[in-house]
Amino acid sequence: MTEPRVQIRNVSKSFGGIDALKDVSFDIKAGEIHALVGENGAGKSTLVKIITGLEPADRGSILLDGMEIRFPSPMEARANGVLAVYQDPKLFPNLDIAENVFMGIHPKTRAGIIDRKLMYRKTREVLDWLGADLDPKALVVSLSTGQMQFVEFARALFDSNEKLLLLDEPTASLSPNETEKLFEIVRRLKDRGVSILFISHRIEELFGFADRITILRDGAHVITQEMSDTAQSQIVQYMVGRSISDLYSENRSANPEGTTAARNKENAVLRVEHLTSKGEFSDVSFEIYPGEIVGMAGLVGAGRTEIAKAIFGAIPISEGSVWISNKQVKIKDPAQMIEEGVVYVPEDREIEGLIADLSVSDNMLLPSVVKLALAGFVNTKEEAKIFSRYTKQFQIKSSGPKMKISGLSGGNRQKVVLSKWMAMSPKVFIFDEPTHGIDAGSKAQVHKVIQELARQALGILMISSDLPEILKMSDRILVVYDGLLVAEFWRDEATQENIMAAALTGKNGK
Amino acid sequence: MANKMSDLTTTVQTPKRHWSVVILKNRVIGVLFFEVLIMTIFSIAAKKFLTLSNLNTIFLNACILAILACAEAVVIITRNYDVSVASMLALAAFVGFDLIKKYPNAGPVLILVPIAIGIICGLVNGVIVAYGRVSSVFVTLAGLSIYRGIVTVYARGHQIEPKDIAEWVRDSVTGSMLPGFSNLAIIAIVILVLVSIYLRYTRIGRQIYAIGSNPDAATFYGLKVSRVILGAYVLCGALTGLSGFLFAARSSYVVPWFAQGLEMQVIGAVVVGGVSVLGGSGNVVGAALGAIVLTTMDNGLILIGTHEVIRQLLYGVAIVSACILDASVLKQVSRLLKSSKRLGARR
Repeated sequence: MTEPRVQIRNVSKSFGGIDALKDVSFDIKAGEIHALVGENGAGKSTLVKIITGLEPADRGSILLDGMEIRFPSPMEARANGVLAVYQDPKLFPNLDIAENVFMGIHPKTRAGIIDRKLMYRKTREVLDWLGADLDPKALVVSLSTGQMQFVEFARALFDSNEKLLLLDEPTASLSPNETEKLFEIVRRLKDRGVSILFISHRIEELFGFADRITILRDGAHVITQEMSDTAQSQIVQYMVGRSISDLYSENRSANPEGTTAARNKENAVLRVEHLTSKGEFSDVSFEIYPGEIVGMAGLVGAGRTEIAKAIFGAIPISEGSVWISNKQVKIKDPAQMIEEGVVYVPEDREIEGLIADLSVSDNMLLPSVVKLALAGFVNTKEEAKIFSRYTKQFQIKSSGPKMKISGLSGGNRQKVVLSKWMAMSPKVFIFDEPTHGIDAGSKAQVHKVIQELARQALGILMISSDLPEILKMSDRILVVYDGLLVAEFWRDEATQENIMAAALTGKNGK
Repeated sequence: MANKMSDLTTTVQTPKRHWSVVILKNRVIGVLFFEVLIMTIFSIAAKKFLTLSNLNTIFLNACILAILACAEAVVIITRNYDVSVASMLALAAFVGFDLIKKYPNAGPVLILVPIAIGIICGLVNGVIVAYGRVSSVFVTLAGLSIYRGIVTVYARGHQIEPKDIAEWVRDSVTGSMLPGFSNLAIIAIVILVLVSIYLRYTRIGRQIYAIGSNPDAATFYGLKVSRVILGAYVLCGALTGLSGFLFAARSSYVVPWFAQGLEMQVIGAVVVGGVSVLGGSGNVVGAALGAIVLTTMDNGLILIGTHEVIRQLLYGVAIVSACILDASVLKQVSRLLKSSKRLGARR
């Protein structure tokens, strides 16, 4: 039996007393695609940083082909064939592709200056090998995230001495096409005998792709096993350390308010009629009833975010009308729409997020401070009222408004999150990709908050590219294609297939 | 599978050029255009403007500012600032010329003194900024006061006068090694060419851009960020020291408040020359052109008979306009970055 390419032996690392990695050991074979999964904070990225020399390990050792390695910086790691590609491309936007590929290791002429011609030619070659039709002289700033990922790959692969490639969630922001292409490249590298450590949050994509899988939880190694012996539910269970039934199989009970009797347009909390924004979307009409979660599916770029932003007053409307609780609203700007009770939560906003150093009251009132303010000053009296109202309504157990949020139990924190959004006295909530890029555990928390908000008889519009999420959460599903509302499904008639068909073709797949 | 691959190839290709990206790549052409524009205006407004002798004056006046702008640009490209250049220059010039006065027989080797002083000042600035992780504006603002303070104390009320200056010093600037070109112009051009080559054709030169473009990525690449920033400050100091020598030799008087306020013109020239105030883009040729633009404005406005105050005001307008253009380009660019992220579809 041959020795594994990489042996990770009892690696530990802590930051300020908190263990990021605890005694982690596993190994990676040559020519293997080795998946590494775990929730956010499980220690995956820390491990990558230790291997590439960005961080030193506190204890333990890493062996490459039987030799212990301890790189002082990623530059030395790369010289020894250990390379990393990260989720957010770490590139230089003002420089061109070739410079990004060769930064720090530019080829030199005999005179000792940079050989720019050779640099562009080599970049061209490696881009061709990757099958990316990119101009080596194009500035990185003009590329899409997916294209930047290929630049990262070009950088990692151009001198073909690679032994170990570390991929830290490379597919997180890629289109399906680009993902497929990336997989293809990784498979070709595998055939070349390169070892690949592949970190991903998309567990589905690992099946039929990875050879083995290692799961980390809270910095500790849980298990390493053959991918073919592994079931999806098992992975999630190992990741979160508890049964997953409450995370994946739970379906929302049918919404009582959504019965046909109540579905009279006058009762709708939000009604949109023939809404058009030139060049973005046109003739969009729909209603949302109290207590209803309406999912909005569609491809990225189909116009979902634009529709949401138009309702929120952030982009101008050229035609159509918006009614809130059966009252027509003339949309001016977001400040006015917040006043009307519309809350838009963009993708990068942490829905479940609380600030540990702030008090319970401050956390609760964070989004609504401006709304409550009197002539620009914080309205403490009104804030105290709101605090006591929600403390009572949701039975939050705290020692008082000044108590630090970090002292609360998990369940009580959840209630503070809920109060935080309710304090804005909303009628309609629009969530744009509420769980993009977060781990399974936090995802379930976000879902709970959204469902609880619906239970408070609010109308919820949830934009999501995650079809299982759409199916799990929505009472009704709208599909947007190329700026048009092309399909509407009730929850019992919706399937991944018919939603995807509508999103891809624009034809109602019923 | 081969078939599939070729299908996919079409999805990864260079997108269309946006105007802001074009400007980002071709800033120098914009500066050149602006220079031609103001030259046209001045030659219509003032008869004496478009004469060979006047253009020569503009060029010579721009030389020292161009070297300083080139020095400052190196630092600004790393996403840092050096506002202490004028004080550094005065310190280097005063001490250097004091030694020239005291040791009249030492000869041209004394040109190394102001350069060495510049290097020491650059080291101090650079070490604190790069290793102390202190905001460069504050560090060099302190340097501005401290270096000026040191000259004042050192001078003890004295000043350097024309009679104190050795013949070789004046020759080095006003003389002419190549017929038709003054030495000052030759020195400026040589420095520009050397620094340009350094920035474009050496690894460290490219890293100077990389660090200014994305310091975070530079760390992930394993670049030695602190060391490169320190190097940029030292280079800036050395060139500033040399400029101190040239400036003093040209003006023949050195007083403790020598070149006071010059840092504004230097930074102005860099910005007008299309070097981004946020680092990572622009080049020293642009910065030097920026120096020529400011000098042309100065000269033209004097010929028209504009009052000093108005001249200052128009300077300010030029610098602010350049900053606004820079900001709007960057805004467009970051918007492009964002929208490209959105188009990078998921699932």
